[in-house]
Formats: sequence, structure tokens, C-alpha cells
Amino acid sequence: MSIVMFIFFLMMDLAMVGIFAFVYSGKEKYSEGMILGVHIPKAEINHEEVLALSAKYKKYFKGFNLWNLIIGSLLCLLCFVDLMTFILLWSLWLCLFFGLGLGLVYRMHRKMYDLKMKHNWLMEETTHMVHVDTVVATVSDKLPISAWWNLPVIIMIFITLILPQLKEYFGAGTYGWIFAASSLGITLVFTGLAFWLSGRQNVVYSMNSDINMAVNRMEKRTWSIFIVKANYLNLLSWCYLAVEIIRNQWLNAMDFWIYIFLQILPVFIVLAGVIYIVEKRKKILSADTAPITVDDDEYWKNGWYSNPDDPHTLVQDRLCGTNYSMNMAKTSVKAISIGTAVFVAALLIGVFALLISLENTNVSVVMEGNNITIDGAMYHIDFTKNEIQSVEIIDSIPEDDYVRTNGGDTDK
Amino acid sequence: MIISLNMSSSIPIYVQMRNQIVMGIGKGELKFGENLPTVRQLAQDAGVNTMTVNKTYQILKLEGFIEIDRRKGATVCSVRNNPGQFREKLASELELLSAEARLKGMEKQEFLKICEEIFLQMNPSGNLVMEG
Repeated sequence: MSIVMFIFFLMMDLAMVGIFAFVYSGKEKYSEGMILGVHIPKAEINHEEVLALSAKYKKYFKGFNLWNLIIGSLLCLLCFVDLMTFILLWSLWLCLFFGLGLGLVYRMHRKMYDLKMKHNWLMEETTHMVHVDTVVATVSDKLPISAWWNLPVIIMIFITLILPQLKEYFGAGTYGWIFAASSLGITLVFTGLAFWLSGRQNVVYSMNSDINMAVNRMEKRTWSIFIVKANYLNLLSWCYLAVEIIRNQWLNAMDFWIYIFLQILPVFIVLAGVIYIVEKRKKILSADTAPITVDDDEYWKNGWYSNPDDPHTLVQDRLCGTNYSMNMAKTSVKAISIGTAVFVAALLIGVFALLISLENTNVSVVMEGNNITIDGAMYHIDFTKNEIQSVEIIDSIPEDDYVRTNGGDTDK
Repeated sequence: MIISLNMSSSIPIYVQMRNQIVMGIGKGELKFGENLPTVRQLAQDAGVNTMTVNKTYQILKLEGFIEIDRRKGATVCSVRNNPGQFREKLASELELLSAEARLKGMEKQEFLKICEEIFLQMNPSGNLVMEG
């Protein structure tokens, strides 16, 4: 078990640090009129303070990722020592990694913005400009593949849910319905995402409509195809479980692992999509001879987007072009952000409290008359003296396989 | 064509949008029969209310620059050659511009040269329909 956990978490840590490094590295280079996400006039990109800050970012960011790669990998060794301690320390590391990582990126971005303000490198004439490419906007709904391709997945999952064998399995007090619900939930999220994508705002990069068309089509098409692929993999994973339930009315550990594997595959598909989009966009925009610059840096000065005059809730992220940022100037976004933060904090504290209580739990054995009650962690059992077949004092636990599904639930 | 809107300008957005589309047709960037974006998509891309875009389209339709079909949406109309009706509007707008040019000390030749240069930039595509 420890070796499986070790490999799983090690791969996850390497992937997380790798993706973070991929997304935020190279921001010190002049691209799309910006350095570290701040618009800098081309004449000033070799200014000594700009170069110094860029070099500082490169050095710190590289060091940060390297240290986290080492710490994240070493932490996984704790799987072989104590799993509970590992989970606690790993969660703490994860929070620190993303918190400090984004903090570093935002801090350097803010320093570059301050530098720009200090030297008055503002492009005021472009600050409040909004550009629309009519050629792209006219065919906008045809850029991604149709979101309706996702509909068969929802229908298929609903069809499986009305099969009598599955109904019988769900009704037998098993937790199989959780997989059905999560598969349905995932497909609903993917389908909603696909429909949102088809009506999404187009971005104008250039005075050349061909460039705008190429980037917007590539992004929307890639995302829509990858969403459909991920959605059908989700269907496949659920269908596998459904077939196993119909065949055996039972799911074993291998079934869960196959389900989890098929569910994780879409994550890699999405990551492949992100890498493809980033590289392809870089290539298309490098051929642009008439780029459009909109100096809206004042709305991004803290690292996130906050523009009270913009009705959009989601806008393309400044530092990660494939990502989206929420417009923090909107009251609804503030409420969602605070709600999410509170929910995540409560969830983390709750899980930690539960883990700690499980780790330090006392098992109590109470005998009252003919009845014996044993309480330990979240489990409880009552039985009578007559049910005891034999009693023996042993010095150590005998060699046996104590692994069982559903933890310590005795179910008598 | 690229529509550029200045969100901090005193000129209303629907007027800016109308002017840009008319200039786009005039320069031939928007061709006769070419489809314009849907009201919803243009509003989404510009980050404005759909009512604003709707107002722009209604003005352009009234002025005869576009036509709106339930199935095809908004399309650019053929350019209508109607100098008689237009001359009055042109004269009134040029009067103000001429006054400002004179007050700023601009010579007649320079003024006419600018007018000519800008006029020559216009190259509307499609059929010119003669009216009265």
C-alpha cells in the first residue's frame, strides 16, 4: 500500500511543480507587449531596472520550483514511515507551494507595475479602448465544435441509471450511487463548460483579422474537442463500473482503480490541451505584424483582475493566457470567492480534525451485565457474552491480512 | 474589420459603434452582403449591453447601411447613391469643421487636401444603387 501511495503522490507532486513551472516561466521575456504581465513600451524593454527585475524573477522562480521539487519528492518518503503524518505535512506543503508560488509571481508583477508607474510608461490612449473583430465575432459560434456532442453522454448516463440491475445494487445500501452521481456531475460540468465556451468573448490580438481568427479558432476548437474527449472518457469509466455491477452486483478494488484511472485520464488530456494552446498561440502571434496593445494594467496591478466598468465576469488571465480570471470588482464574484475560500478552509480543517481524532482515538470496552459495547473512532459495536466464541491472551498480532473494505465497520 | 471603442469617451458607445461600422463600409472593410455579428455576440465581445448594440443596428438600418433579416441576421446593404438628400447633412457638418479650421489658421488648400486624402481612402465595395 505504501509503495502505491508513494508512487501516486510522487507523480502528482512532479506533475504539479512541472505544470506550475511551465505556466509561469518565461514571463520575464517580452511577449505580447508585456514583461511579467505588465505592458512596457518597446523602447524601454532594455532599461536597466526592467532587466534587473526580470533577472530577479527568473532566478527566484527557478529556485522556488527546484526547492519545491526536492521538498515535494522527499515528503513522499514519509508514506513509508507514517501515512497520517505524511497526509498532514503534504497538505500543508501543497497550500504553501501554491500560496507562496502565486505570491512570488504577483509580487514581481506588482514590482514591474510600480516601475512602470515610476517612469510614467503609460500608454494612456489605449487604456480604455475595447476592440472587436467583426470577422471573428460573426462566425464565433462556429469556431468550437458543437457543444451538443456532449449531450449523448448525459443521455447515456441517465439510461444506465434506470437499469433494474443498477437500481437493485444502489438499493442494497452500497455506495455505488456515489460513482453514478459523480459521473453525472462531471458530465454536467463538462457540458456546461462546452456551452459557455461557444458563447465566450473573443479576444482581439491584432489589426489583422486572420491572426485573430487563427488564435480564437485554435483555442476554442482545441478546448471544445478536449472537453468532448474528456466527457466520453467519463462516460466510459462509468459504463465500465455499470457493466461490472450488472455482472457481479459487486465492485472490487480493481474496478475502483480502473475507474479512477479512466477518470484521471481527462486531466492529462486537458493538460496536453493547455500545452498545445500555449505553444500554438506563441507561434501564431510571433507572425503578427500589427499587434494591438490595450494598456489595462491598472486593473491587474494586484495580480488579479478588478475592473468595475467591465461587465464580464470571466476574462482571459493576464499571466496565464489559457486560464481565466474572475472580475473581482463584481459583488457576485467577491461573494463567490469568499464563499469558496471559507468552504475550502472549513473542509481542510474538518478533514484534519477527523484525521487527528482517528489517530488519537481511544478504544473503550464496556461490559454491562450480559452486554458488551466497544467504541473506537467512528465505529461502535454491541454484542452479548453468548456471541463470544473464544477468548485468548496473545502477545502480538498474528500474521494475517487485515485489510478490508469499509474500514473497521464490523457489521457483526 | 476591427471596431475600436473608447470606453471613457464622451461620445456614446452606440454612436461610436455606428460611426465605425459606417467607416468600415465606406473603406470597403465591410463588403456588400457581408454578415455582421449577432447582437448578443457583438455585445459580449465589446463588453456592452445588448440594448446598446441593438440601438446601433436600428440606427444603421434606418440610415439604410444594413438590413436585418430574421434568419440571416444583420447584413451590409448595397451603397445607395443619393447625393441630393445627403448634401444638406454634409454641408451642415462641414460648416462647423470649416469654421474650426479657419479659426485654427488652416489654409483653404490644406483643408481641401485633407478632405481629398480622406475621401480617397474610401473605397466602398459592391453595387452602387442610384436613387432620384
